[in-house]
Amino acid sequence: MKQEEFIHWIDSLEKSEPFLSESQRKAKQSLKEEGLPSKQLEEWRITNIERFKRILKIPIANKKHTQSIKLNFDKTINVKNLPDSIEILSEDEILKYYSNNFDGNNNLLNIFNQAINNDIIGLKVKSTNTINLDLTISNLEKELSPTKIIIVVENNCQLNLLQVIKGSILSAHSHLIEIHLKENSTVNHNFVAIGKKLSNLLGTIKVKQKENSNYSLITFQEGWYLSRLEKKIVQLDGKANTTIKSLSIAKDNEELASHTYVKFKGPNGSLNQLNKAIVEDESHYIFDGLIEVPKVAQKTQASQLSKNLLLSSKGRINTIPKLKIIADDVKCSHGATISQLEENQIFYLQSRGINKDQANSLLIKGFCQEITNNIKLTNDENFDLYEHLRNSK
Amino acid sequence: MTSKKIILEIKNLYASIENKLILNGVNLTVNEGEIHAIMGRNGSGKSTLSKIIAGDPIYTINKGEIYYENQNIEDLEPEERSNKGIFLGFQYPVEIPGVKNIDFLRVAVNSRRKDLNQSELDTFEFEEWVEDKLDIVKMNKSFLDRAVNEGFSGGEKKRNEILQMALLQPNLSILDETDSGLDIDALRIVASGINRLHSEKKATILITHYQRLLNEIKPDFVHIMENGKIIKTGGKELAIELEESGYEAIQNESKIS
Repeated sequence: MKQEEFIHWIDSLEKSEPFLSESQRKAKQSLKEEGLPSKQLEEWRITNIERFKRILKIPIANKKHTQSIKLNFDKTINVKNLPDSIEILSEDEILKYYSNNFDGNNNLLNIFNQAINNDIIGLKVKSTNTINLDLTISNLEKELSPTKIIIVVENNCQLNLLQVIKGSILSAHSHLIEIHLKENSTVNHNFVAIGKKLSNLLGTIKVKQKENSNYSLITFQEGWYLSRLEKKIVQLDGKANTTIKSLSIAKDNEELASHTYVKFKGPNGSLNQLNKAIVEDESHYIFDGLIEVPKVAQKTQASQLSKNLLLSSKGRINTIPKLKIIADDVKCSHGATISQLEENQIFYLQSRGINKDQANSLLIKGFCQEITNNIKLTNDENFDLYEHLRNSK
Repeated sequence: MTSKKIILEIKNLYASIENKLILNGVNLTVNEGEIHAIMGRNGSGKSTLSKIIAGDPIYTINKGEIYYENQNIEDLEPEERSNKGIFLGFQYPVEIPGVKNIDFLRVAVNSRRKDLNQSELDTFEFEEWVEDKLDIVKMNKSFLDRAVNEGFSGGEKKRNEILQMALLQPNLSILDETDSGLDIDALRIVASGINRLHSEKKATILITHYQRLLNEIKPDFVHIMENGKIIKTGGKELAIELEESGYEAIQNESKIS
């Protein structure tokens, strides 16, 4: 696809609901100005752009997308009939929280999502008792499904959010979730994205945290032909806690990417980030993580670790941890490792009667469990993450 | 009196790592019911010998044979040796992040039970069984739910090794510096565990620097290793002599002889 075709594609996009038309217009305009991503752009340099272009040829789902919502592990409920603890955001509120573009330059996926007429759900959590919310998003074969979720968690409120995104054959998701944590609020966010043959995922997780809020994110992804998961978290006034743990398992000729951007806009904030990936066959994994600590963010404590297992000679891993620190009184660390399974660990297990294959899978399982042990799936979910992990070897 | 069964027989063993010769003609015979101590300076080849018996693939055997219960084990994988009843207690037990101790122990025990033609234990049966064994090394049940050796103190790691020995019920236990890094209380717990697990039908090899372990576990034979071979063999008194006069004296003495 060439630039002219891309412009034509943008012009042909269906109109969104009237209250979003202005933001859609702006997004389309920006998308035209940005143009197709290219290798010249630092943040797209390593990405397989041909695969991105192929997504543009997938027809956009022409009806409202199916999203099921579950609360407190009950049966699926109608979005229009929510309990008092959760309310639907009004159009005005959605506009207030929506479309304020983020700090940082890399906004293409965000604009892309806004330019397409998407299914949008806005929710406000108002309960100080912990709310369990499940959101499952799946799509049909050979369709590009755009979805967007905005969640506002009010002061002192707590939310356990499980998001499951499933991909069908030859499909693509353009998904954006924005979470706004007010003061003293807590969100435990599990994001599980499982693709099928030749399915694609363009996902953005945007989080804004007020003072004394706690945001913990665990992501798991596997099975996507192209997956680009961008996580952008801003501590608006500092003095908040952020935890990010993620695991990606890449196989066959898949390309999976995790891009993270964390910015502290005030002092005394903390970040604990562990990013893991396993690469098999001829797959490719990209981790690109930036932590930004401006002058105002004194006493920030941030650590970022990228640990990768490369299990085949034809697999590729790019890991790019970055710290941009202006403040002078901070404790920040980052590190990255790419390794194979450790010979001494394999020998230790073998010396206990465990054969090499079993030893390998125990070690791989152990590598995964540091992340996946913390993911809570509801019982009636029709797939089992553990099975996925077990079958992944 | 019937003669004792030979558990381990090493004949003129030469071995190397990355073309560097470490073992220079080791000869050793260990019968059932016996406890042997191998002492020697750092780099004398003690740990290498123990790892070669357990089958560590990073070493190459250049010459010589290792027989375990009359079978040459050179071509056996480490897990096959373990399943036949050879146990190596590691000097530095390896950490396996993410793998729960109890899951690891169950897989290990079931591999051994398969070889012994015993039925495999399910999760519940195993939990019950393992709890009985915890007392041998005075270990708290909570250790079972932690990742293998991860964040364990030196003493806890060594106790975990002896717990594995208790669970796997080996015929030949080789304990590589199990006493290093232990305070006197932990040393006693570990030593009493080893004593409880040793029997007339089993053989134990202790690799150690210090005589203090041998106050707790009485060896039948003490061997001194130097430059990749056993230069002197004696009884318990050899360890005492060593402590008093040092390796230098024994090395000189063996050169003269």
